[in-house]
Amino acid sequence: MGVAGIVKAELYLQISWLRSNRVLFALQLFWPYTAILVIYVMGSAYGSVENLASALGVEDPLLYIVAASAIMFAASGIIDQTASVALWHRWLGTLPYIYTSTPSFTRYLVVSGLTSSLFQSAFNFLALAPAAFIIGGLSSGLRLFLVFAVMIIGALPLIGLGITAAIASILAREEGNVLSFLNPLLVFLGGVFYPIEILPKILQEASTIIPVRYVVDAARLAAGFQTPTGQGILLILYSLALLIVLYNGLASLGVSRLERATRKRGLY
Amino acid sequence: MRLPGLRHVRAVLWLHLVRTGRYMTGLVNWAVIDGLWISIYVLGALMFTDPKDYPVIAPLIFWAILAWNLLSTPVWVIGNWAKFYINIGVYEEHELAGVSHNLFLSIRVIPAVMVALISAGFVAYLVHYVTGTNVLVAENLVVLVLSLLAILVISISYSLVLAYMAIITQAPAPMLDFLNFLVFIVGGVGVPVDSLPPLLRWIAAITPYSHPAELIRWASIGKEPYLGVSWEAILTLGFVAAAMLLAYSMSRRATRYARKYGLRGIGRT
Repeated sequence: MGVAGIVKAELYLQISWLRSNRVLFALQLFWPYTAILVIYVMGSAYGSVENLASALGVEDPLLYIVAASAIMFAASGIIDQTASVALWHRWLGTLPYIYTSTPSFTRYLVVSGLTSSLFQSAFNFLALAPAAFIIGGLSSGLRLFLVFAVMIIGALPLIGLGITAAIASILAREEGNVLSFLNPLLVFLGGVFYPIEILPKILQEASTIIPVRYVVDAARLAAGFQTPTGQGILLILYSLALLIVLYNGLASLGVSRLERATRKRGLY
Repeated sequence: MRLPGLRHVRAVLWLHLVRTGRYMTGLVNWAVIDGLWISIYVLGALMFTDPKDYPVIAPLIFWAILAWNLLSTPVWVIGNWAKFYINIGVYEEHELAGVSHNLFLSIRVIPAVMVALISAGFVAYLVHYVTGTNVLVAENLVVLVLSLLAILVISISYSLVLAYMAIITQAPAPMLDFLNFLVFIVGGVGVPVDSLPPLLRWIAAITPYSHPAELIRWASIGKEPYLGVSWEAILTLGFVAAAMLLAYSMSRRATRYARKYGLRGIGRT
């Protein structure tokens, strides 16, 4: 099976899943709004939107919350979609079949993970599009679309991380995904809803190798929340390129390690 | 009503403790995940707050988060875990051995509370770091602990109801989190009831968790409860009893259904 075949199969699975479970479909549409609602209701009860605008340095705090929620769900979904598919096959007992059949396991993880991740990300952004239109009309909708475009670039290093998480979970023989803490960690260190500067110094340092941080920075620039500078854009692009190499290199090493381990002890 | 024998309690307790030890990495991982997700929302909400209000707001937010953690974690650890209980065939094993399903599922509260406390510790440190405020304050420790326990008991009962629903229906797992979030927002847990819009105050009043949550706010920083201390305490006790009764009645119904028609909650949810 080629790349196109895996993409087609994965899309068919995602669509069938949503079609056969209407409640899940409705929940996934509303799910991003609950995040916005929690932040907004809790924040407003204890303070004001003006304080938020001042703390984050953004012009339109409401639209920023919508965009930030979309980034949060997309980023965490990418790792989850890539890593959870391997675990799901292990629970079902189909992992050895997937592993030994063509195409290669790595290709399956990358293509299937990328397809499902982009599908879920697009779903999340589409779900939030009406909110963006209501807040600021067509211009806000376009801003959200730009943020989605940036998110796709940011997805590339995240896929590498997701594959690493999947391999670690298989090797660790744990019930769940032992690296699933990566999901919230990426969002937490990405400073989606708050400036990174409020975190302890060590966490600020750690955030420099977190792709989501650059996606958030780029999204702020692309969406016009801050005035873009040439140097700022280049810094973000270089950082993301470096992280794409780093995390996908790490994933390649992980796949080799997995192959060696499974030859020795089998796959279960 | 047949009470579980001591031998059964010992066996189930041993099983869950062994399992907790076996999957300790997963448990710590879960606590870290909870702590990080909660921190994201807490720090986001704190950005709305004027820093000069931190001494009052930070403890309020922390205790609200701990309450929410205690109400939401069992829902996953007990309610959602029912699909494993069913899928891997353990339900039938216990049915044949005459072991109470209520007992087996309820004792999973041990890992649930461990997860909730570890993650709350992380959040407390972080909120303290960001705001410079000590959030672990209590004006009335006894009421504070009892109110947290009341939330835990209601949550376990609700989780059992969900677990038994999984036996006769196929409740999708994301619904559990969705409802938890709704309770947090409109149920008077995340924010004091008197700061909600009038319509939501009515919804909060019929939400079981809002009453112990109001007592927690009173016991931690002395914020007067929406209906007064006495009424909130009476309503808390009432909801605790009602939740336990509902869980027991649901367990009987689901067990009868499963004996007659078999289990339904099988598959990817």
